[in-house]
Amino acid sequence: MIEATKIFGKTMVASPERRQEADADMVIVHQVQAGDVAAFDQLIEKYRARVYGIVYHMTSNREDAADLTQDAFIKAFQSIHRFGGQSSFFTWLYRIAVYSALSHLRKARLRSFFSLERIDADEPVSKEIIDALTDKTGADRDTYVHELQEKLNDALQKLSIKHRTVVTLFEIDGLSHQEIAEVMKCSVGTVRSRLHYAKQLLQSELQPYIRR
Amino acid sequence: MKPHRNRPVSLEDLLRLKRSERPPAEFWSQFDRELRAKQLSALVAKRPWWQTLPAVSFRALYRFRLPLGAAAVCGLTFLAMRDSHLPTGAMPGGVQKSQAVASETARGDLRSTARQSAVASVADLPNAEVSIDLPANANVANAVSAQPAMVAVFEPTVADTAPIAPHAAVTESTGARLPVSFVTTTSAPSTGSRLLGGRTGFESRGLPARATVEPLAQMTSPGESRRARLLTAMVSTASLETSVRTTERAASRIAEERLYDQVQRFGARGDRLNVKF
Repeated sequence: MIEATKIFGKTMVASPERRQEADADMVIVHQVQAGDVAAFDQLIEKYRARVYGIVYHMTSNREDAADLTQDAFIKAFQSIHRFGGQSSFFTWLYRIAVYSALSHLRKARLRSFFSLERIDADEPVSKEIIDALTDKTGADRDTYVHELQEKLNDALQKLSIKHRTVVTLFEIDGLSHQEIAEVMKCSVGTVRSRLHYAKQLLQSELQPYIRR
Repeated sequence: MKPHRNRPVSLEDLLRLKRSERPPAEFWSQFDRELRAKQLSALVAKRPWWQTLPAVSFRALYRFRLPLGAAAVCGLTFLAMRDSHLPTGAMPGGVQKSQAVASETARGDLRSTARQSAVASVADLPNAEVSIDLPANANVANAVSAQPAMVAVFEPTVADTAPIAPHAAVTESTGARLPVSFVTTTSAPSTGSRLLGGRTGFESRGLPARATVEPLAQMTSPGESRRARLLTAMVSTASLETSVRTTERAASRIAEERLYDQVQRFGARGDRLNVKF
């Protein structure tokens, strides 16, 4: 059953999977609110990789991403008694994480540096893309992949914070326009416009690696 | 040649490549340890009062929002009604009453102070020839009640300095003129207000000194008045000359037709001046 949720004056329709997931989260949230602190660990385990992923792609720094993810979970834990279920727990947690990352990025605008995770080149999807880009093997291939990774992160960091957030949430984390609008507290049109502009910039930055 | 070599690569593919940037498995064990420690410290750590105060006060106010709102409305209504029913001259009347009380008090003080100072100054001067007639104090008191602002200035003069010249003969007439002469010689508003405020307790601000004007000083000599008349006449002539010159200059610049049009709009008849728009 698809349930309509009214947010920011617009009616948003949640997909059945999201709805099911949100209901399961709400059960755990009620347990935590009732005093079962250990139940919060289930939520941490469920969402830690996704929250870390989004913060990492926004900051391009693994240490900062780890700290900010932990802070986001702590903040969520501290204020979970105020969470009334107006949105899903997932959206609420994402919002906390994104705002923590945005705040951090604004503070550390001039002293950002890369600290990247390793690309899993053995994963089928990434292996296919890397194979399409280069026929190098061995150490040369690793060097090429590392260079490509730096170029990708560099291009993302050239975007403004808001554009980068939209690209990260849509292209990397796979959120819908509506969910991004909910997380970022803006309209769907704004999300689409930011995404379009960000893609144009990335296209021009990564032109040598794009093959038609 | 590999099968994927000819595959097109889009921007979305490149961004998908970023998805595979994942931390190793051991990272999560360390992450969990750190998070647990932070969680415990957050549980133990007491939040500062300035962070908890807004939430607590808001909760308390929210609980009693209806009674508080009703009380606020009642209070505002009462204030508004009280202000609307207040007579216009209420405040000045009160001030007048307090001034009258003050002048009465000052009058009584002045009588006793004048007596004391006169006795003290006479006692200090061995060769003084004094004849004091106390009914003169009634005139002093009347003069003070007519100008209550002078009381503050007069009192310290009598009490502190007592500036009576040596070998002076204090007569009835000088006693009556004492306030005026003391006011002109020592006008210390701060001292006066201090003493007055300390004694009566109703006036604490400094009173401005009033300069007395001698009647003779207001009179002008016939020569000066003649000179002033001549000067006035000269100034008016000069201003007339300037205005005539300005009018000529303006007239030379304005076109004749326009000037004619403007002149036609004005009409003087008898004691009337008509202007057409």
